[in-house]
Order: sequence, then C-alpha cells, then structure tokens
Amino acid sequence: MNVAAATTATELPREHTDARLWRRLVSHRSGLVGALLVAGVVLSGILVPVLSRHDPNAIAMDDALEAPGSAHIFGTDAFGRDVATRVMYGARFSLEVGVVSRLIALVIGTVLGLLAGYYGGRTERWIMRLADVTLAYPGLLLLIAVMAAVGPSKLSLFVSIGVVGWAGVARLVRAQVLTVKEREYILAIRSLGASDSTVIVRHILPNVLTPIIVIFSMGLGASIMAESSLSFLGLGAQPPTASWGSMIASGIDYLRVAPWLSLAPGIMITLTVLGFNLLGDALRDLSDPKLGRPTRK
Amino acid sequence: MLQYALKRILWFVPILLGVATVTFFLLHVLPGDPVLSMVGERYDAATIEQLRTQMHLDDPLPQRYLRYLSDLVRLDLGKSYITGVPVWDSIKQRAPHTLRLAAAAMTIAVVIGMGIGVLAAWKRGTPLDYLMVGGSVIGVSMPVFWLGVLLIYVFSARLGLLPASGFGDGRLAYLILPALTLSQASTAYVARITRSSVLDEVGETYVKVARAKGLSEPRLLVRHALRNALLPIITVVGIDFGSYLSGSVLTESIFAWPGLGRFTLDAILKRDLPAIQGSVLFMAAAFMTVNLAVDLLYARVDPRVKLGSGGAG
Amino acid sequence: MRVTPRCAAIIATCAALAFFASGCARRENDSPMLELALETSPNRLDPAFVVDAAEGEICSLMFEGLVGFAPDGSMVPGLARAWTVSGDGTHYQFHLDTRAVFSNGRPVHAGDVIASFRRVLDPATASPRAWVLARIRGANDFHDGKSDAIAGLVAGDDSTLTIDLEAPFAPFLSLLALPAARVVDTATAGSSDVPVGSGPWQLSEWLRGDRITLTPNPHRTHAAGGVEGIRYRIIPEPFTRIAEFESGTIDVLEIPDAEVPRFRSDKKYADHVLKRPELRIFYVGLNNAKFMDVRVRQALNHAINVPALIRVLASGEAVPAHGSVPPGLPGHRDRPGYEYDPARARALLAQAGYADGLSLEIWQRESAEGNRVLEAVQGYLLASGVHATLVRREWSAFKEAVNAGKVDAFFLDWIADYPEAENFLFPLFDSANQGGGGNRARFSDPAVDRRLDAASRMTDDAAREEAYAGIDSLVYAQAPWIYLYFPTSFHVVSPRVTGYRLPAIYLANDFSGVRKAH
Repeated sequence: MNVAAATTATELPREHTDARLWRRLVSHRSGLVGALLVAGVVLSGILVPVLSRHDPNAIAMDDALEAPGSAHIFGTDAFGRDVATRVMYGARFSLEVGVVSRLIALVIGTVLGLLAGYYGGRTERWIMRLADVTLAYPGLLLLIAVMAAVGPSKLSLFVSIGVVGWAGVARLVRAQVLTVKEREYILAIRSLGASDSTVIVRHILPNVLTPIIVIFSMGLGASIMAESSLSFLGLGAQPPTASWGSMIASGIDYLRVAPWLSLAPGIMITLTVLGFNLLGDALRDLSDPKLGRPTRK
Repeated sequence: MLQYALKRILWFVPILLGVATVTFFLLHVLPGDPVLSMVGERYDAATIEQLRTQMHLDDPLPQRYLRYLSDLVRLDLGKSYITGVPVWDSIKQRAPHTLRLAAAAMTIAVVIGMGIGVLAAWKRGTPLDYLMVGGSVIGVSMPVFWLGVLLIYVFSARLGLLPASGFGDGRLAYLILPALTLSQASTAYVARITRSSVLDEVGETYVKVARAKGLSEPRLLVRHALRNALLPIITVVGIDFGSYLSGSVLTESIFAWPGLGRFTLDAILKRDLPAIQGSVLFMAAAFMTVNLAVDLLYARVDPRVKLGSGGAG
Repeated sequence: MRVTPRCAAIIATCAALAFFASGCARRENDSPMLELALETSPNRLDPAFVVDAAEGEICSLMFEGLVGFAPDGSMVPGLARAWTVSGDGTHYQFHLDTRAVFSNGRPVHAGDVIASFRRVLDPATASPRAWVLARIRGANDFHDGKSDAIAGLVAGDDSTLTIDLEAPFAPFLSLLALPAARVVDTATAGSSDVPVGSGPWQLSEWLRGDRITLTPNPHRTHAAGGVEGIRYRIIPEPFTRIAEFESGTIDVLEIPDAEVPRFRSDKKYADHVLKRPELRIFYVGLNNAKFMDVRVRQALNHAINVPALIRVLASGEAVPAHGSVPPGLPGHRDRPGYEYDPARARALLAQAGYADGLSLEIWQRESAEGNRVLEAVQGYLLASGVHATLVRREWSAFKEAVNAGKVDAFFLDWIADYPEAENFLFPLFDSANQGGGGNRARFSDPAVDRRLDAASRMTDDAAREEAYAGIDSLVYAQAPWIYLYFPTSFHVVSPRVTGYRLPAIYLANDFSGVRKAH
C-alpha cells in the first residue's frame, strides 16, 4: 500500500498542526499510557542517585545472591550488587544509546531521503538501492558484525545502530517528500527560480517535520531493543556497566537459584519499549495514520 | 506481472553483490589473525607464515577481493578457516534446522495469532478483548531473548515439562519452546491485524445479511469476515518468514538450536571470514526471495494492488 | 473464494515443513553408547595438529604412544611394554609390545614409531606441536631441513627402539604420552583427515560441529559387556548440557559452578557426583615488561580477596593459588600467600608512585568463567584504587595481542598436559618461552632460567621435586601474575553408568571399565 495523498494534518500550516497534535495526544488513551511509561523510565534514570543509596558497581561478595527483601527490593546479584540500582542505571545507559543512535539514523536518513525524494532520477535510484542493500542484511547480524569489527563501546553502539537504521528512515522520508513535492506552492516557488537547497530546506523540510518526529519516536523502541540484544550477546555494554541486556545474560547462569536477576531487567525493557511503541503509534495515529504502515520491513 | 518478477530477480544480483562487497570490506577491519585460531598455545613463527601463505592472507586487498568475487561467480563459497569444511556444506546442514524453526514459528503465529484475533473480535469491548489486545501489544515490546529465558524458567526449570534447550533427538518437545519464542512478535502482530481486519469486515453489508439469516457469531466471523482479512495476514506472515530465516540469531543462541543464525553468530565471533560471507549472502538471498514471493502472491490475490509503484513505505 | 484454499495450503505447508524439514537424527534415550558432551568442537583429530584438551582427549583414545597415563595420573606402558633409561638420562631403550596392531590390521613396528615422529618433525607437515619431540638428538636439524634423518631415533628391530636426547630431560617420558608423540599409520596418513591409530577406540563418524562417534578397535581385546561406542556431542551451552543430562541423552556432565550445590543436594544424583581437583590454574597474567616494579604486581595480588571469590563463584571448592604448581603434583607447596589487604595494596602502589591510582586493561577471551571471575576482580581492584577496563576478544584476536605483548593484563588458565611441575614452570616462566610458547606474562629472570635448566637434568626425583618447589617460590615472590585459584571440577554420572573413572588429566581417559545399563 502506497502512502496515500496528504491528509488534513499535513496540509495545515505548521503551528496549528503541532498544537492540535499535543492536545490530542493527551486524550489518546494508549498514547498517554505510553507517555507515562516513558516518563517513568526517564525519571528513574535521572533520579537514581537520589532514589538509591547503593553503588551500582561496588562488589560485596558477602551479600551475593540475596533474594529480594527489605534491604534490596530486587535482591542482589552474584557480586553482591543491588539489582534495583543497577536496573535504574541501566535505564540511563539504554535511553542514552537509544536516543542518540536514533538521532543519528534520523539525520542520515532524513538527508538522504530528502535528496532522493527531491531530485529523483539517478540520485533516487542509487540511494534507494543502497537502502535495499542495508535492508537486505539479516537484521541483527549487521549490527553484530559491526560491533565485532570496531569493538564494543558506547560510541560504537551509537554509530552502528544509527548507521543500520538510516535505511528505513530514508524510505519513509522520501515517501513524504514525494507527496509534498508536487504541491502547487512548491511548484510555484521553483518556477520563480528559487535554488534547490532553498526549496528543500525552507519549504519541503518544514512540511515533513512532523512525520519525521513521528518516525523518530516510532523507531526508538527498536533502537533500545537493538542495544539490549547486543548487550545480551556481550557486544554492547561492558562490565561493570549495567545494561538491561547484559544483566539478563549474566542472570541466566543463576536462573534456578536466583531468578530475579533476569526478571527485573526484562520487565524494564518491556515497559520501556512498550512505552515508546505506544507513544510512537499514538503520534502516528494523530498526525498521519497511513505513515509507515509496514508492508516491507 | 511476469515482467515485474523478472525485473525484481534481476535486481537480486547487484544487491547481493553490494551485500558481498560490504561484508568483505567490513570483515577486513576485524582484528585478529585467523591463523592463530588454527594453531594452539605453543606455536612457532615458521608454521604461522606457512599457513598464511597457503591461505593467501598476505595478498593485497584488491587482489583478495577479486579472488573472492571470482570464487563467488563459480558459486564457490570457500572453506571455513576454523574447521576446513566447505561453507556450502555447513549451510546445507544448518539451513533445514532454521527452516524447521521458522516454519513452526510461523504456524504458531498464524494459528494462535488468528485464534486470538478472532476471539478478541468476537468478544470486542469486553475485558477479554482488552486483555488480548494488551497482551499482543506487550508481545511486540518484550525482548525475544527474555521471553526465551522466561519460558525456559517456567517450563523447564520449574515445571520440568520441556527440555531447556538444544535439538536433542529431534523430538517435537525440543521444538516447542524455541518456536514459541521466535513467533512472539509475529503472533502478537497477527493477532492485532486479524482483530482489526475482522472488525473492518464485520460492518460490511454481506455480513449483516448473514447475521440476519441467523448464522451464529463465531461461524460468521470465521467463515466470512476472516476470509477477507486473510490478505493482510498473509503479507505480514510472509515478511516475517523472511526475517525468521535470517534473523533467528537470538532464539537459536538461547536454545542452542543448530541453525544458520547461530552458525553465523559463531562465525562472526570466531572471525571465520568465509563462513560469515557465505551465510550472510545466503540469508540475504533467502530474504529477498521470500519478499518477492510475498509480493507476487499479494498481487495475484488482490487485483487492486499495482506492483512496482515506487515501493514506498 | 480463491483465497481460502490457498491459505489453507500455505498453513498446511508450514506445518509440514515444521515437522519434516530437517532430517531428524533420531537419538534414543536408551543408546547403548556412552553419550558425552563437549563444549567446543574439535577442529582436528590428527595428533600432529591437536591443540586443545578436547581434541587431546579424543586422540588419546584413538592413538597410542610409547607410554600412557592411567586415570590416576601414573605412567603406564603403551606401545612399549618395558623400557630402560641410561644413568646419564640421555639414552632410552624401548621394547615394544609385539601384539600392538593398528585398527586397520597392520602390526605396529618400531619403524612405524620412527615414521610417525618424522611426520611430526617434518617441515612440510608444519605441525604446531613439533616442540614435543624437539629434545631428540638431531630433531632440530631435521625440522630445519638441515638433515634428512633424525640421528637420535634408531630401530634395533621391529620391536626395539632407542631414543637419544641432546641433553638429559627428566620429563621426557611424559612428553611421549602427548598426542603429538602418539603413533599413526603413516602408510595411510595422507589419504584422509584422520589417520589410523592403534588405540582402543577408532573413529567411526565425525560430523563437524555436531558429533564424533568412536567404536572399539576390532584388533584390541576389550572386556566383555563394555559400551558399544563412545559418542561426543558438541553442546556449547551449559544450560543445554544440563537439560540433556537430565533427560538422559548425556551420561556424564561436568557441572557448571552455579549448579553444583543443586546437584549435590538432589537425592537422585547426590551419590553420582564425582569431584576432581584439577591440574589447572586460573590467573591474571601481568605484562611484566610494562609493570616492572614488583611492588605494583604484589599490590595487585593483595587487592583481591580470592577466598571470597571462590566461595561464591566456584562453590567454595577451589584452592587459592599461592604458587603455580597445583596440589597433587610433586613440587606443590602450601606457602603463605598474598593476603587480601586493600590497605597494603594502596600503600605499595603509593610507594611505587601510583598514589593517585592506576589504570589498566584486562583482556579476556569469550568464556563464562572469565566473565564472572573478572567482574569480581575488577570490583576488588577498584576498591584499591585500580581502574581496570575489561576487554573481551575472541580467541584468535586475544591470542595475537597477548602473545605479542601488546596488552597490560590478561585472564587465562593453564591445564597440565602431563602431571609434572615442569609442565607448569617451564612453559609459563622460562624466558625462552615468552609469547606463544606459554610465558605470556613476559617474565624473565636469568636465575629462574638457570634453575629450570638444572632441574630438567636432574635424575633424582626427590631432588628434582625440591628444585621445582624452590623455583615456584622464587617466581611467586616476584608476583608475575595475579594468582587466582586451582579449580575443582564436579562431574555427575548417569545412574545407568557404572565403572566410570574421572581422570587426573585429559589424556588419561580410560573407558575400559565402563558399563551402561540400557
């Protein structure tokens, strides 16, 4: 299904669109739930030094593998570290990686999508084929290969998840550009002799900004999931940095004796990704319901 | 349509070439000397040099690239650096296991997903409906590897009903948990799509007529509404099948399933270049083939869809 | 309508694929074979190329050396039924067992032993294990291509073999039990990946990455009622191995540390748990070329609370290492160790000029054990002001960097190839072995080198033991490593299996007395 012709939301002047969007978000039930979940996770990540008096990385072997109780609400891990504290620090790590990598994907994808959509012809074909090559890669494997190549670090996580995510963004942006490109006032401005860059930056881009924001939020859940998966495989966060994925991985060895080690971080990933997915879906529903309905991954 | 199919197939070659090239250059950035995997703890430099020459590892990069391409054209995927086994043989051995897992996951996704979707549509508005919709939304947000761990914990560690992992002796019991895990996101998605497609159809005239004629609600939903909802479901399932084939890395990893995803992961971690290149190419080709098949099926079945309309979105 | 039958067909196809797609290898729970599991897949089963313990274990079943090891670690006759050593320790005479036969029917003669040794030393073979035989007179010349024959190997007749060494080397007999010194039928060696041997078992099936099946060598006598074969399956994940053991498809399981208490307290298995202190040491090697101040190295040892680490991570059964020679070997001593004392660690670091703390990278290869132990080590170091970054690399990248001396510190273990103190001290601390030879910490002390050389020539066992103990103390005092522990491993055997003996070293597996009810 092609992205259809513009809906009312994208035809309205910009200022009205945003205001209506935010107002409608509040009344959109699942979107609100999503927003609250996200806010909860973000706040716990920010406030952890206040909320917990434990050091996430200090080991205390005498307290190892304690069950959840009054001293440690989620118990302790094999090194005596408080699981709840580590889970909250994990929120910081995952959110940071998720947001930054998604931004990188967004920037690269937007630029290339704008160019492809606006210029068409050979530019468009080359960019889209490059996107096809990127998307032909078996999902996680490209990320794994890149991380194995450059070595795990926060920076390489940013870059690899960002670079792998550009293709989907570019496709969506290009589709949006195509719908905007043929509008009368754009054609008018071009016939008046405005330069390409002016048209792209000052006229087309603002009109696709809202969809771009939606595209950004829709992919946040996936970015966080990618980071968790890489950390689970040992290719993301390195010890002693707490990350939900690596906590689940190290908890597997103790599944029979200390199941809480894998339980807590898994719940956090689910809630966080859920929150972003709901939020992203809500934003999409409210602005342009046909945006990015997947017929291709 | 034949023309479209041929055009798409023609595009396979340059895209696969692109995949092969990107993989090749990416892998040559990887640190580590493959020869060292093959010798043990106490080695001497002369042996190392000899092995390096045998494997053409010291040739300049462009030359190695061209040799690689010429091998590919002859459909020679080379031999694993670690085991010496031809890569194609390894792929042939592992691919059926991944196929089995993917097929099982897809079956679960379709059967259980549609079941949930129809049930939710039937009981729309009731708490059961909300539960199912909520469950399917969570199902998409839960990490695949976590679900796997949970299932192992409940069904194996606690209840002792199913084996924790591995292929075992091939019995069905070993297939259940991995297939359930792999199907997680698809099942949730199919459930949602089924529910909304069925609900869309329920408002149609022919359904009202059937209801007026006295058909019971479930039969109505399944017989009439579901039929028309099948089209979007096929699409989703078809695409997911492609990504199962290529993306079951995490599931195969947790459950020690001897499939292609895990083979590739191990190869990447061991820096086994020919194995990585061969299996990535195979999976990309499989993925594109499945996508094409789904597109053609879709076009065949729904005459409203025009192929080749830009592929946007 | 058109859609329905088509979709039904699709669903049916999927279901069919699910059930039939892969050729299921039906493996019964009631297999008459002894079912074992391996964590890593052997790459080579040719003794000239065997480089790790799993490969070594299987080769020791398929191939025989002049001597061998019994499960308790003592030396037993192999192809040689008797031997004599000259007083000066350089001349060995072996009398071969005339009944020895390869699994293809050919009898084993002294000439075959020589041919087998030649193959390993032959430069064209490029065997990474040529060093095992390098002590033989003329071996190095042959290996370097300077001569066509090995002067020190002479066959008196079909069943007499003399070996002359360049210089006396006390552990030489032990070297003859290593895989590289085991005899293959060179007449057929080139034609397949796996040569023919004369051991009690022969290879009947090898699906790389999946399983290896051994069946009895028909030309050897076997006790009646033994198992019909031995099957090793490659199962890298500990979880899966446990699951398979519990469902009866594996007969012997090495229990992962975290699960040991459970198995020991489970009524069904408690009586079948076997314990073995391993001839193995875990350590964090320090780059001695970089950390030249002994105070720094000693400080790092004081910073770690090894007993606490062992209590949690190794279920309390490991032995803290106060030297590199494991308990159970002559030369081991219980000397006082570097006690856990963070204050002392800080003081030593301050004296050495690191009052503000020290930063270093600890490299490890992919391993679950490594992950756990190092996170604890990292935590302890932090408490003493040392910031350790953990760098995880896969095996070949790790080896390359460590062997070239490019890393600050690395986590590794060393497993005995033969039960002698020399097998620990010489490869690990002799300056000639820096790098890939085993001395990855780049430790170099001429006094230690001299004493190692002298000890290897000693023919009196008691004197040699004292000498090695003294060398171990000398090295330990210089703290070239962060010494961790000697592990104890636990194995659980299926109640259906009797007569299984846990060997002291991986080369000494003997399944001759194993019976399995099925």
